[in-house]
Amino acid sequence: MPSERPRVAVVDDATVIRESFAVLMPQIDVVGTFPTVEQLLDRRPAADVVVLDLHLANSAQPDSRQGVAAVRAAVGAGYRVCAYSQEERRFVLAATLAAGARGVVSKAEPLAVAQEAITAVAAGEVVIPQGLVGLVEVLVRRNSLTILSERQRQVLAGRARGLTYAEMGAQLYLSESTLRGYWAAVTESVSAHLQHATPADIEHALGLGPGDLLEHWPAPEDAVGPDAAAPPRWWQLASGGRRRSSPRGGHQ
Amino acid sequence: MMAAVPPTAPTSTQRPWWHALTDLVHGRIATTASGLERALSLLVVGIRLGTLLQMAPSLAPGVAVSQRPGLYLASWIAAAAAAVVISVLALVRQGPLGRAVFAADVVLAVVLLLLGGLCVPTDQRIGTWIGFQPGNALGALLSGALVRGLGLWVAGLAVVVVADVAFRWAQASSDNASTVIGNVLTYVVLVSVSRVVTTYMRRVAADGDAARAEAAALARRDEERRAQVALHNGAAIMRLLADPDLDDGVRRAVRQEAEREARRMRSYLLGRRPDLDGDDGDERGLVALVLATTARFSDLPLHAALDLAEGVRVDGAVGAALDHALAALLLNVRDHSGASTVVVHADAEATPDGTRWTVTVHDDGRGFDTDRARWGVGLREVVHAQLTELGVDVEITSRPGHGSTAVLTGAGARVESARAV
Repeated sequence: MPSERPRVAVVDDATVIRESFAVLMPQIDVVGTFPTVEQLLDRRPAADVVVLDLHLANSAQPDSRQGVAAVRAAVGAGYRVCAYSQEERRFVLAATLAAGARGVVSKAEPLAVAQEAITAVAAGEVVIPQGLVGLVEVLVRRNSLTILSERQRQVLAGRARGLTYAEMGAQLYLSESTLRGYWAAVTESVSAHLQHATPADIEHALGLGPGDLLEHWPAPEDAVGPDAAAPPRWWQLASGGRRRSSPRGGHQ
Repeated sequence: MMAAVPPTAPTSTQRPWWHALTDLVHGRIATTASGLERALSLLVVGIRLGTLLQMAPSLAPGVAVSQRPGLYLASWIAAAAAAVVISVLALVRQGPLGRAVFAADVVLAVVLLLLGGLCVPTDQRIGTWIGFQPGNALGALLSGALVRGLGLWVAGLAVVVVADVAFRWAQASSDNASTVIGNVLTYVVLVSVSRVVTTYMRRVAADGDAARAEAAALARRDEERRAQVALHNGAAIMRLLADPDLDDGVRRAVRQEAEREARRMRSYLLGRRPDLDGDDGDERGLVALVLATTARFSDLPLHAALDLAEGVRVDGAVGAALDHALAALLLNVRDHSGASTVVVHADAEATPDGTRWTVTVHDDGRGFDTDRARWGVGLREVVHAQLTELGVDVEITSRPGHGSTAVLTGAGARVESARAV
């Protein structure tokens, strides 16, 4: 059983974030803070979720793994990952989910919203940011992503338009908890789809040109080489050893 | 255009009476109710002076054949004086005769008819102008066709008919009975027709005045609305700029918007259509348009999901109005909502007639009671009136504490290369 407060490991290159996280989010139990994902993997703290900044390389740690590479490394080590970043580009955020992150939260969100989202990821939910919901709706409308239930489609359409559960409930005559259930099913489908779809699938669905997503999207696992040198662009995959043992202890 | 009020004819009653004739000749009399009265007064002058002109050649022969030349001459002078006085009164009043004047005129005409029985030879009472009295009486009745009040007019007609019969009675015989009856009917027919036509023309003129008044009111309302549309967003921007606690980042964004609104206001002041400012008549891409508008509100926590409307193009005027309406909605959000998330979503679907697009603007702010709250100029004019005028449906829903949603739906066209979804 998870503890009352979710256990969170924070990976962020900004000292001020690492030092203040526990103070700013008192409903979260911060079990460790790390400037790099490599140090996280070295220490392997037991955590319900890893809150991971996507931008981790800086002048002090230029070779640090970051972006989808960092996400994939943490996920590969058995962690649930919630990206916590200033990144707003939709395809990068989608690639983050495709790399296995269970949630994406913007640093621009109010603290209460961010804390709630991180808690939800720790509890096993998938958190999709508003900026990506519209993209998901496009994938569904273009039959790239199959959502069978009409109710799920309605909830997706409502969320894409920014409607709250209360507003949707008034329109669909459904309770908020029922709507949340539909949404949870949608987000699970989205997460699974993004992890299994190829960049070409997504490009085709979104009307992009061939190769437009290659520099954003995580490559197949076997394509990730061992070279941990700094990638030409931060969001591209870098390599790193993987440890498959679960750091979540009995909470998986 | 600034001068939206249609020009109306000058009020004719304010012009000197002696200009009436030249106005009539040159077609300058207004086609208003007051103009009609002025024209009818000139008709009275024409009838009365025309009758006098017809009487004039018979004066001398009449005096010569009359059994009472003095009475005949006095009668003739009285009739002529009445014609002149009524004409002058009509010109001065530039409107219908008063009831008292009409009554006096008819009484005089009746008296002259009765006196005619004493001074006009019996063989001169039908078909000659020596017996001028019936012609004078007809002129009096026609002058009264303009008098308001049916009872007085009917009474005048009746006494004149009786007096005319009395005037001609001595000459009546089986040979000319039909002529006598025909002359009597002349009164009834001509006077009735003139009254009916006059009444109808008054109704037409009154309807015309009402239509002009309505058009003027609509034009004033339209002008007010255009002013409100032109100035609303600018006023909201200035209110924001005047806030000393405004964040510097927001102030920079607002300043850019202020420059844009200043251009709109200048367009309005120069008499151009600010709601069409930037509209070159060409279609515009819906997504690019919405993106350009939302980009001016970068200080808001705004998410734009527009992919589903990719390839949709809207009419230039609709695009300009949509840009302005979206700006008004987002200004409202910035100014009043306190929202933490704003979503602008665009969608489109194919219909048998083309493409229907929908733009949804949602905020999770404090909302308002749509039944009780009085809509401001922004929602009422800039969003609702301006867009519905161009065929865009507008639906605004909100509840206190539950944010607000504006759904704008209109017709467009989708370029073939765009993905249909």
